[in-house]
Amino acid sequence: MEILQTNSAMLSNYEVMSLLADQKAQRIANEVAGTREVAENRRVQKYLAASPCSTQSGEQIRELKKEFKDFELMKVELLQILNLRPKSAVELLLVIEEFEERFALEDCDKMLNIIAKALPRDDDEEMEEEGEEEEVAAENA
Amino acid sequence: MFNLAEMKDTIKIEPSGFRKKKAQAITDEINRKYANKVLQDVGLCIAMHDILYASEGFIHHGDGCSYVTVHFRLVIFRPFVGEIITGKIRSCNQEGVRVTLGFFDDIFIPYHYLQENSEFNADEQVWVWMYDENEMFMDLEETIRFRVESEQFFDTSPSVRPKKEGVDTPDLSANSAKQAPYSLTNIELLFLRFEWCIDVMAPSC
Repeated sequence: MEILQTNSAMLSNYEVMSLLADQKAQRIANEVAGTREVAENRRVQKYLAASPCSTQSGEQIRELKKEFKDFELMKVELLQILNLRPKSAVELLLVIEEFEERFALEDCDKMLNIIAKALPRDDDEEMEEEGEEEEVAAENA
Repeated sequence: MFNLAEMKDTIKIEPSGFRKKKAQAITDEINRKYANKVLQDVGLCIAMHDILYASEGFIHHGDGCSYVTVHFRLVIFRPFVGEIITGKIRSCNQEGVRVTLGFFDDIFIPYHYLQENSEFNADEQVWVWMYDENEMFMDLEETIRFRVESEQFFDTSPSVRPKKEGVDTPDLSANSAKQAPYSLTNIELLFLRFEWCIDVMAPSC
């Protein structure tokens, strides 16, 4: 066993969730007896289903990235916004470092509005599985 | 919270797995070998992400299994220092608060990193935060947010102890590790239940 590279790309919770769902669907589609699901993955799926990523989709993430391009956020800040989906100023200020030095206070409201618009969550709780690409991971890498 | 690690390994596929498609057989073997294991200085392995390259299977004489050299990427759970994560309180004791994510339990917040004016209520075995004369209980199973401050890897592989001459007593206790192989020690227990943040912290915008 050889570890070639330890941190080759960062993944958002949404990507991990869709990966686990795909693997499960593939296993069922192949209908092969004897391939057991890893028990721990069920707990990961349960955790992710309770997090904001459960109602996200590739389209929404692309939209969010586009809107946030002007703000020049760090990769990790955008990733945390995706994973945590801040709804209030307090949460946003925790995620973004040195907010007052980099942005004006009005930007805080602007960002919260973008998040609420790009990642709507109030209505449905169904998981949408589209043909999501993992180019978000590739772009982040 | 998650990242990818590129690995190279020789995967053994038993003859019972020959009926599967090669990709599926390799995926299952990798998942069985790595899922839920901690790799030192890498993190907790969750599942296989994709196969980058797989060689032809090589069958040794005397053994029916097919050995395949695989380059693949694993999904690793390893929050970076400074990341904010949501979790549930699992237990409290005088030392601090233990938090769980469901699939990962070894998260500990030492008591001196809780908010100021936090006290341990021995009757109910929970920590209580006194804020402006409001008592806020940190109950079990409550969802909280916390920021990761540090992580620790501990090598739990069995150690080989040099034996004294003439004495041959197997010392099993040397191999039992009470330390978790990968744990997070946290600072900054952030505001607890989501309702609280509205009452307590005044937004600055």
